[in-house]
Amino acid sequence: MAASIGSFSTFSKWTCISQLLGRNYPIGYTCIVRHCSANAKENKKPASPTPDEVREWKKINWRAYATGRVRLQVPEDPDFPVMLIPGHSVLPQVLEKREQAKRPPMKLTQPRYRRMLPEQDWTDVWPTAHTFKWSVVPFPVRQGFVKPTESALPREKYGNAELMKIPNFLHLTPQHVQKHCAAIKKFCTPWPKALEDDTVCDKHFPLRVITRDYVADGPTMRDPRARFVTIQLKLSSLKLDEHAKDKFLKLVGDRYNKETDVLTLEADRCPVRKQNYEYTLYLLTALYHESWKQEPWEADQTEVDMIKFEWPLTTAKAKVLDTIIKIKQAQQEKGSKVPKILEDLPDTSSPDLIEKTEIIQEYKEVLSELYEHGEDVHQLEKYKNTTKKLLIGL
Amino acid sequence: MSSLARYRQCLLNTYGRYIRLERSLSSSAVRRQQTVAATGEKSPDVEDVIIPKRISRSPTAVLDALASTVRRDFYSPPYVYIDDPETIPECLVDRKAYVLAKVSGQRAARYVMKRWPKNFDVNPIDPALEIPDIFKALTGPLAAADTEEGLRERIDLRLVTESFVSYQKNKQAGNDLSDDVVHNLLDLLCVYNSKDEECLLEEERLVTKTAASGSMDKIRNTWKDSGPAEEVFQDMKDPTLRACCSLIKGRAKYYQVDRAYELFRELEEKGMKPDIQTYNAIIIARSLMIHKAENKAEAIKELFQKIKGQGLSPTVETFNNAFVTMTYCSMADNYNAAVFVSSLLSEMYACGLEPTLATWYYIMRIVYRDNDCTSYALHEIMDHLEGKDLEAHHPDDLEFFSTAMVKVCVNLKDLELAYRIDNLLNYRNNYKLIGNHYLEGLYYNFYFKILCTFEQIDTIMEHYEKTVPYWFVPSFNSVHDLIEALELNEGYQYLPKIWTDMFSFRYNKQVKIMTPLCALLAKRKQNKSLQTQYRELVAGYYDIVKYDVMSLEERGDLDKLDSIRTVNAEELGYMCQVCLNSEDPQLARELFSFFLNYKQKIQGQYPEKTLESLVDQFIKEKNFQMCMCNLNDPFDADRQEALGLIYGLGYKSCGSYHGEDQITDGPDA
Repeated sequence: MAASIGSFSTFSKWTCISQLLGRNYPIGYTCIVRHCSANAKENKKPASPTPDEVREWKKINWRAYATGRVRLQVPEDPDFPVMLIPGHSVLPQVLEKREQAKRPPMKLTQPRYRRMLPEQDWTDVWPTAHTFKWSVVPFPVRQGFVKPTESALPREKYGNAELMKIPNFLHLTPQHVQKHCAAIKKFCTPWPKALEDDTVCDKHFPLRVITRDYVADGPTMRDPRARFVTIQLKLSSLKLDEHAKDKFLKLVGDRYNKETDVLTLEADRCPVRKQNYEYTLYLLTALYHESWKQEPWEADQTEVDMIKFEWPLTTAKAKVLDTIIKIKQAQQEKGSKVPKILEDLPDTSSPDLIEKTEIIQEYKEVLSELYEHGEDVHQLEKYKNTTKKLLIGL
Repeated sequence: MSSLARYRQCLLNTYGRYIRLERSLSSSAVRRQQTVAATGEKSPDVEDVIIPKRISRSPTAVLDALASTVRRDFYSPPYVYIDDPETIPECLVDRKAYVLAKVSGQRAARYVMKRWPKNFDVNPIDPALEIPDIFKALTGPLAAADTEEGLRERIDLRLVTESFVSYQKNKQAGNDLSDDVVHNLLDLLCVYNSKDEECLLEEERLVTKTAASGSMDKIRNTWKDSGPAEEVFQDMKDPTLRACCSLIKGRAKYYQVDRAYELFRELEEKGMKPDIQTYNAIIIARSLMIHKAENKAEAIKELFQKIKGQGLSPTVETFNNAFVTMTYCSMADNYNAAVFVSSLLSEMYACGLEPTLATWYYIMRIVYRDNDCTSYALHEIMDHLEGKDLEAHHPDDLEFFSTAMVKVCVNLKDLELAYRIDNLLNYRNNYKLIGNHYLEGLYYNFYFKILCTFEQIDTIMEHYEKTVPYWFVPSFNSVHDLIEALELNEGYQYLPKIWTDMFSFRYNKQVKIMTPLCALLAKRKQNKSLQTQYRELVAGYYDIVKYDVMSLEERGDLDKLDSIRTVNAEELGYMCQVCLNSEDPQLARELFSFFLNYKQKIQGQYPEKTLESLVDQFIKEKNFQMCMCNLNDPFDADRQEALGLIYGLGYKSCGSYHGEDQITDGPDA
């Protein structure tokens, strides 16, 4: 191999050597090797070093080398032994390791939890909220991701960042809460005796105002969310007639919960809580009075506008009466056969009387049920039977 | 560290993570109105509902109430440190370094604010703090110096020298300054003696030694006799009473007593009425001019008469100042001082004033001045104070607990009383009156001293566990007392704990601690588990010693072994004995050969008992080479003789002595 190298040009030859050695040595090293082997093998003057090489050369700690603190590491290659000139050849520096007495490892203090007494008061140890402290929590706890392929346990508490990220409730144990309650009890007044029952509360104090306070550790004590005010009210506690209630519900829209009968109004448009509170009260008052008013255009509402099934407004009413009257008339004119049930019908001239008959009432009820509860097999069956009864007397 | 501030901070942390507090507005008027609107008529039950009145409370009352549930946890480090084993400093030097490092960070922050004030002109604190306006104080005054407004601003910011410069500029510019501003300026100059004093930061006070006002070395006339304060006073055409009082107080505060009293006499001659604070200052000034206790007492009585004559009533400070001056009496005069003090105390009660902790501190100093005095005064003081929430009014209040403990230990030697003081200290929030680290250390050192003298070892260790190392790092003498108590009470089971603690306090290079500790370890053979622990300790210590010595040797500095104390021969011997007791001859042999290697450099005497045990051991092992090493060494002649006997006995018992050759070969051959 050495022979074949001889035929390369100077540059490519030494690049090639670096590659052969399998490592990228610093330029200083290449330079030395070039100097040495140029002298040794080709027996002619070496090429002058490049500026890069000179810079690397200067970096070498010659003093350390001279005092023997630095030993030169010679890459071993049987095909290409590198000639070393003491005091001149420089190879990558490796600090010589002398045999030293092993420094005994620093012993850390015991974590606090080892010194804790079993009968100590936990509320003293963890009085306030704090991120998880491994050295204080006396019980074993683990958290962390474990690859499904591994059967290892999650990491234990020492230096476990996962445990620090999650909120803990070590400051809110039952003992803490008990202590806190005892401390702030002096600010509480007894609950009025007459209001023991929830229904009584609802009766006397139907309005519920919900506000929220936020306490945070920071330069400002203000929180924009503190302005929100919510009021809740059972609709049954308001005095409303049918029309007013209908209008009220149309005005409040989805703020009314049909199942619980609770109306919820929330305001956040004003900057201060007091303003928002007053606004919600104003809103409630306005709604109440507005729904009692009867505007002229309200007469124009049709079946589609109605929330509930309104028999007098339905087209069905007119059509049924019309059909019945026609049947009756046909009977009178042509003497054709009519359903038995219609035979006893009163005079056709008054639709009101017809409406009051048993069969029409039944039909009305079935139809209203169908509207109110939605279509299902049972309802449709009932509807079918009633209709058949009405028209063909079956 | 202000504990209230700390607890508030804690609570803010507790409830800070946006815990929602829901509540219904309890304005019953609104509700009633709504009810009427809703039902249209009054329900018959509504009269029965009696809404109780809201208990009025301050905005922070709930937080304060919650804070009161937080008690001191002995087993946790003080709040200044980060609570992790790696960051809690354990020895005295580290504690100080830690706190000072923290303070230097704060100072750096202040420097940045002062240097680049423009970056901090927005105050993010909302609502803005009223007093002190931190941002203004840090970034400096705004108005020009040669206007009255500028002067006023500088006075408000307590910039003493700048205020005076501003005053002079105003004078040059010919501005007419209002009387109020000039008086304020004079007050400022008098209080600070016309120089800017850098205020210590809160945490810095923890580690800074401050002299109590009772100590004599503080009394030095430092008043600037022709300084700015006097100049401003001279400039006043017709000095008012207020100006005179300010100057008297200033002169008295900085112990220019003669001139303070001179001005006071002038005022009296003019028939002016100084205020009570001026009288307080004059009490100190006047009595410093007199040396004998009796004369002092006379002067003070005279001043009290004058106060009465002016129609003023004395304050606690008046009496406290009188007590302070009595502590300056000479030792010979102390009896007279004590007699006067007792009459002064009854006078104080007669005036309806409650003595503060500082008062008791001065009284203790006077009564227990002689170390032999065993008066019952402290018992009476404790009867008076027990079960009270104490408050600090004066810096000298913080001296009370440490002084009381010192007096109990030195004068009274009463364990019961020491417990009473400790209970008072740990009652509710009284612990904040312990003072800085020095006073805390003083208190606990003497507390431990008296415990170690009179108490059982189990109780001592209970207290030790409670306070060490977070609240108190025992001083050198305390540890010594503790070791003596351990030896006396045979508390061998506590030795591993003490041993490891000594290493964390870095006492492992103290001969006076390590040698007795080693001796205690080696004193007798313990049960197996304890002995194994001992062996571990010794092995660990040996590793450290070996490392120290070998690294010295590597550097060629083995001669320094004496000056850098690592170990002495006695310790090595005791360690060796521990190994023998633990039936670990391997380590014992290693320790012994280590000693032989370096015996020229290591000081001290190898204990005889260990040598005997070693010989026994070697004979048992038939390790004659080591045995010979043991004997051939240049020990004392007597000892060699004694050992020779054992040597002979050993050989006889072994019966395997065949000549010199075998000895040199050793048992391994």
